[in-house]
Amino acid sequence: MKNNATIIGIGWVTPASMGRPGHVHKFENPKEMFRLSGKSVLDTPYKAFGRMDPFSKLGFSAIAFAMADAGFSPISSYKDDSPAKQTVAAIAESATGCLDTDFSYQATLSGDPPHIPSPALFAYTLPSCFLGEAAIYYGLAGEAYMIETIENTGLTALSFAMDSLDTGNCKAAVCGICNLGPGTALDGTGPAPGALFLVLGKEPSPSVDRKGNSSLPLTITRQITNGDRFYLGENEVTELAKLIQKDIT
Amino acid sequence: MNRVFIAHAGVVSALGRGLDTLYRGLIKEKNGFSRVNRFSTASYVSDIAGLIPGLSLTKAGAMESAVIELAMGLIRELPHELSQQIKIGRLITASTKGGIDLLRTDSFFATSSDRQNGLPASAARGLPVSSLTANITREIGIKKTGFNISAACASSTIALAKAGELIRSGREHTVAVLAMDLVTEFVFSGFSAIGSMGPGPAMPFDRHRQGLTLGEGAALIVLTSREPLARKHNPAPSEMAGWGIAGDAAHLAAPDKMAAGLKTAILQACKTAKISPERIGIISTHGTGTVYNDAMELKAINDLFPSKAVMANSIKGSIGHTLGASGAIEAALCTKLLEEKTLPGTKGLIDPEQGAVPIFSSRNRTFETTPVLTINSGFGGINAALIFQVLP
Repeated sequence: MKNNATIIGIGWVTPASMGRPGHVHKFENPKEMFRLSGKSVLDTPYKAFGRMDPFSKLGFSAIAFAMADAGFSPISSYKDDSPAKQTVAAIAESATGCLDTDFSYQATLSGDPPHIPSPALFAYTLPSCFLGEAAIYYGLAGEAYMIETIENTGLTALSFAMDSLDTGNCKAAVCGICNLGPGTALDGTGPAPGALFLVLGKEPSPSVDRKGNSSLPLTITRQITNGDRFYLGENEVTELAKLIQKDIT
Repeated sequence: MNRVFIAHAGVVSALGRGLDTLYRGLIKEKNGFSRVNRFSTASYVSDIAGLIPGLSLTKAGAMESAVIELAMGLIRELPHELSQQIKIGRLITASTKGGIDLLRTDSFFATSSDRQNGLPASAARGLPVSSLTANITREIGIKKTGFNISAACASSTIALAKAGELIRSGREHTVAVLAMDLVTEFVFSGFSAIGSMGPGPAMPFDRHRQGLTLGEGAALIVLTSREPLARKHNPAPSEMAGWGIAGDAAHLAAPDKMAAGLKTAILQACKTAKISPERIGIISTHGTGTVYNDAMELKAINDLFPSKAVMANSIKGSIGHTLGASGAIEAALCTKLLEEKTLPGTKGLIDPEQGAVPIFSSRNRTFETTPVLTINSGFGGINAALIFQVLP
């Protein structure tokens, strides 16, 4: 059995750069990826950005770049007083989850005498929280959850995102990977810190012409026989990051 | 499209080990709450929780989370004959914080140097959650890498929905969903700080409810496309007929007052099950006992079931809010309800909230065969719904 989805948006934050095809900001120092600001990522301000933990900022930023690439606007930019929310899924995958944030929260409990726990920080000790933030910012009312797995290929998130389109419950889906903190490594000994998200649709978006910006074929094919396998044209995709290698370098 | 049958449902909660123990405890109106002495509660709004009898958290310096023993205990309880006959193709875990009990201030890798160097891969059996899932998957001999679904308090409801999709589409024949969460100072302090914890036992759907009571628990649900196995190993064989997931896109920490996401999730579940909402006779609600959650659920139920012919309950006044495990514990209980045809009353409900009568009651109530709906909602504005029905 085969089915297809169309890639209508790509966004990323890696130690080398952040952005989307045609709009790339290269980092002089890899540590810049840990100092993301709302101004550097968003055209339309989101007041919650500043209070997010580093893991959420990373994932949210990559989603924001991908959504901009796909032509989605923040819900606050709509002129209608009560804009309709959209059935768009948001599915992420991670090996580290928000363990970095867990450490930070635990540290607030360990003073002598103990500090008052931070309610704002506790909220972000759920790795799916940045998906909720993205849902609020863009008005995404589809399914949303984090998949935590040591595989870290992004393909489980991709597969469930394609399911959300196939069932007809969602008209588009944003899916990808996000890793930060303990366990990550820049030398290949662990998952690299960073985030990468795609926006998928069943058909190419008529309002967005990405062909001039991306080196990618637009259609991804899933073959379901003894496990899911993904193809771009003739080439099998074994991890999401390889899918956009030409775009992010 | 394959149908999704329940091969096995096991539970451990504050009322003890086993689904039957949980159900009998609820029918007898038992309360599973006890005073927390794992850590000092002096700075927090409550000092009680639904603790699993006899469960101790990891000791200082320990290298394995208590949650692993909890999970393996449920796996060992799989009936021998069933485990011989069934081949689990995939494990999906559902936990919000996994082995967070390892992250103690006095534990071996909570120092700043360990933090900078990253976790020693062989050391932490329970953190991060991805490694918890990988460890359990390896121990029970499943070849495919497992994964954890994290979606706050809807985690295991969504994990069951994903398992259902894998089976329905023919990609897997049998999927085990293992849900678990512990009461630790980490989560206790957090729920106290964000103001959703109440001082006393939770009072779901009561006018005077003051917040949730934390609980811990685990559930193992084995779903399969093999109907004969489900029939052979269950006195009242049942299927998971429908599921739905939808977001509020309204607020990170509070539910949508209009309950739009929850209503969409319920209607999606009805669509998957190919039934209309009027066919549903029983609802196992999330019912945390917080002001806003319960109000949102009442809005959804009253909007979608205007005849008020439906009966609903919450079990969180008996075992507490078991976070990511709650959906699977309640789903397991739904399969038991289909067998027993008696809905346990809602413990803690004394003076029902407007719109809760006659749908909710503190009394046990009998019912005729009907599809059973279970619903959960979580942080980030996510909602999920499952529908179970008994096989003819």
